[in-house]
Amino acid sequence: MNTWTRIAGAALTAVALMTAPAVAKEWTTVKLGTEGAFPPWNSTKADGTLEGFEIELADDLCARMEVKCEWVVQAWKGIIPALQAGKFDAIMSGMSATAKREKVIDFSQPYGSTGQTFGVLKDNDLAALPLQGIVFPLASKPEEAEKAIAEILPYFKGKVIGVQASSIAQGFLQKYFANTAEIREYGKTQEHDLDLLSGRVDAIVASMAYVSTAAKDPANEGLVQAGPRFQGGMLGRGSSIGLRKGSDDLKAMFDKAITAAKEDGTIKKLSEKWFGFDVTVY
Amino acid sequence: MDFAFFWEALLTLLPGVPKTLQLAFLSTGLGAIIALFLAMMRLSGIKPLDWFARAYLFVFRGSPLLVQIFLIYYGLSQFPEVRNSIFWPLLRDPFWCAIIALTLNTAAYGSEVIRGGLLSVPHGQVEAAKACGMSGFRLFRRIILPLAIRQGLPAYGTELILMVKATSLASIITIMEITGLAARLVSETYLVIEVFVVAGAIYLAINFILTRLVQGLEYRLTPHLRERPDAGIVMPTRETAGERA
Amino acid sequence: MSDLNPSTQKVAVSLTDLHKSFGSLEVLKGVNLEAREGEVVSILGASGSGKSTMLRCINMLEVPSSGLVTVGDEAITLKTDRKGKIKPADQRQVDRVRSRVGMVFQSFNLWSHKTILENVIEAPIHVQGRPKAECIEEAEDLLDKVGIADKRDFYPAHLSGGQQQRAAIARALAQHPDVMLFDEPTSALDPELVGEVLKVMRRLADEGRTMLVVTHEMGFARDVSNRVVFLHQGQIDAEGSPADLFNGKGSERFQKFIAG
Repeated sequence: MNTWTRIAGAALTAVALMTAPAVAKEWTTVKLGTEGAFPPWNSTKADGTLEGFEIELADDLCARMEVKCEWVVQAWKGIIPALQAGKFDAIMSGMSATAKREKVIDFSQPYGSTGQTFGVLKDNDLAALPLQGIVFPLASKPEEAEKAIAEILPYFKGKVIGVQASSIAQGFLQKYFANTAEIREYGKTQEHDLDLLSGRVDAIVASMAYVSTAAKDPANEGLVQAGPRFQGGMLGRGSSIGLRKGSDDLKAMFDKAITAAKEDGTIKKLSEKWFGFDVTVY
Repeated sequence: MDFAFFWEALLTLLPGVPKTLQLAFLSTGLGAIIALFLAMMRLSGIKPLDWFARAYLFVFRGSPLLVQIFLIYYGLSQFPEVRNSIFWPLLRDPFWCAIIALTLNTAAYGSEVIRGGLLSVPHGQVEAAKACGMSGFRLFRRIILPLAIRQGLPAYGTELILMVKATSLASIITIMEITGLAARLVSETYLVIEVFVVAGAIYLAINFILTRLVQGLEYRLTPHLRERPDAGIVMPTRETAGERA
Repeated sequence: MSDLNPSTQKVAVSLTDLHKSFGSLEVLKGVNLEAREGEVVSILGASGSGKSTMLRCINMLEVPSSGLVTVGDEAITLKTDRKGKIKPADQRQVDRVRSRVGMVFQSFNLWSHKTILENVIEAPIHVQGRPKAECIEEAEDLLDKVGIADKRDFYPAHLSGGQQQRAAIARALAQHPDVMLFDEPTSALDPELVGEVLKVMRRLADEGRTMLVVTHEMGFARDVSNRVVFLHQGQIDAEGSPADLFNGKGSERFQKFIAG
């Protein structure tokens, strides 16, 4: 072994010693920020401990990443500033990855999306919409999604659809349904529920989580979810883990773990427990 | 500021103008009829009618129009009795709910304008009409109402303009008039200031035209309040014109 | 003064035991008066004597508290309503009587939103239902007669008081009235405008119109009327031909009144 080889070897060892243990050391513990008040994604029990889809999913993801995860509860309004201030390393709080948020923080791939679907009264003929409960991703399988839309479109001829103004569902309706049905825009989702119940509108379009919760509310007697679900593309990427800009290593770890959890059915299993339906992003 | 966007916003909002005008004219017109009846109830001297009109005024002037629109639209539809009644085809439609709310509201204000107009009718002119054999509806239609209208017109013109602005509240029950379209455009572009500057300019233009129309009508209806046609107009002679120069 | 013989003429207006109270104030205390066709009756009296109230009872602008009012052959029936208020029993009868009685007011009371011509044709067209063209033609003649033909398209506010009152007289004449009532027709006029109105009234008297005139114009009462009635505190205090009354035959109070 000549001098140069020894020096090179020493240097390599030094680099290895400096970098490898540093990575392992940095991510033995990951602090996760949550609102703790957005069931069924996350919520706080009476004894102060957290529960919900994300809480159990995080247990699974952290095990796959071989790190210890700690929860930090943070009010929704200040959750992004708190991430940037280093109060925690990642946000996992039902946060959709939007273009506006992506300007300030990074996101992992989505781990859940309830998608958008229809709410109708059970005695309306729209209650018999086909493709009940089937998920159509606009981005990854556009042909199938458009075929599904074409199949349900005739049912909406002459109907009135209510939607929250400036919601993602409104853009979706404007694009695909505006020529077939009358679209009415509401300031609040509760308002389109009232008009659905009174028969002023024949259907509403909202997130699957919203519609299934509304359907369970005894005040909304007769309201049922109907037809297929749509997700992805113009409907948004879905709930993702928010990360400080530049946390590429952590992003890679989460992405890998989410892919694994998706593939082995963990996400499907957990979402069926907490939502009653599958929120996997396809 | 993006000036090309102003033009785009104008083209987006202009289709809302007919709806705004429909709401304003229809409700002010229907409201004026109700207002007339309310004013006559107030002046009837019959206590139950007077009290009814007073109570009506108290409710519709004393509560916000926004609340009235909400209650008429979302409130009434809560009752199955209403949904099964003959009024449902009307109340089902947001446009007619807005018309009803705006009409009932303007009727309250309008009735006070008309009442003031009726009270201002000179007693002697009514007596002169009675003395030549007029009574009842004919007296009202030929003498009292025309005089009251001339008195109340300026104030009613103001009411019409207030109503044009009040129609913006119809957007909260899904009606896409100027403000409804503006709110949608804001949510699509986030250009709050630009969009509402354009919306405000459209309302200003509408009200400018309406003000001129009301002034024109007032001018037509009140030749008797103007200067005598052959008085006061002194044509400048050559001498006086020369002096001025 | 015309030389008609009143006793052979039909009664145009008669008031029998007329009482009128405003609240506790009794303004008329049993007035009896008859005016025959063609008669010009001047009604004099101090202010508050009840002369205007009496005149206004003839066409029910004031409803008497009791007594009988007859215009032509029509006796106006009164009734007591549920609240104890006295009212005409039949508004149609009142309207009918009123359209046969022309009234001229102290303050003219022309309809301010109508032109002079429109004022004159209003009642003939809209009360009496006569054809418009005929009414306009007649109105122009009447305006010509009272000397304001050139003011037909003016509004009342654009005329002097004297012109307005002459227009009001034309308006009353357009009804083809059997009786003309004048309620202090010159009292609101500037002194220099009184003459033009009195001239028109004198001309009507000369035509043989039945006129009841409440006035302060002693000259008119003396020279134009057939009969003078003097009211004092709600009662007729003196009555007679102007020749008699103005030559000392009336009551002492009347003599004092005309002496000023």
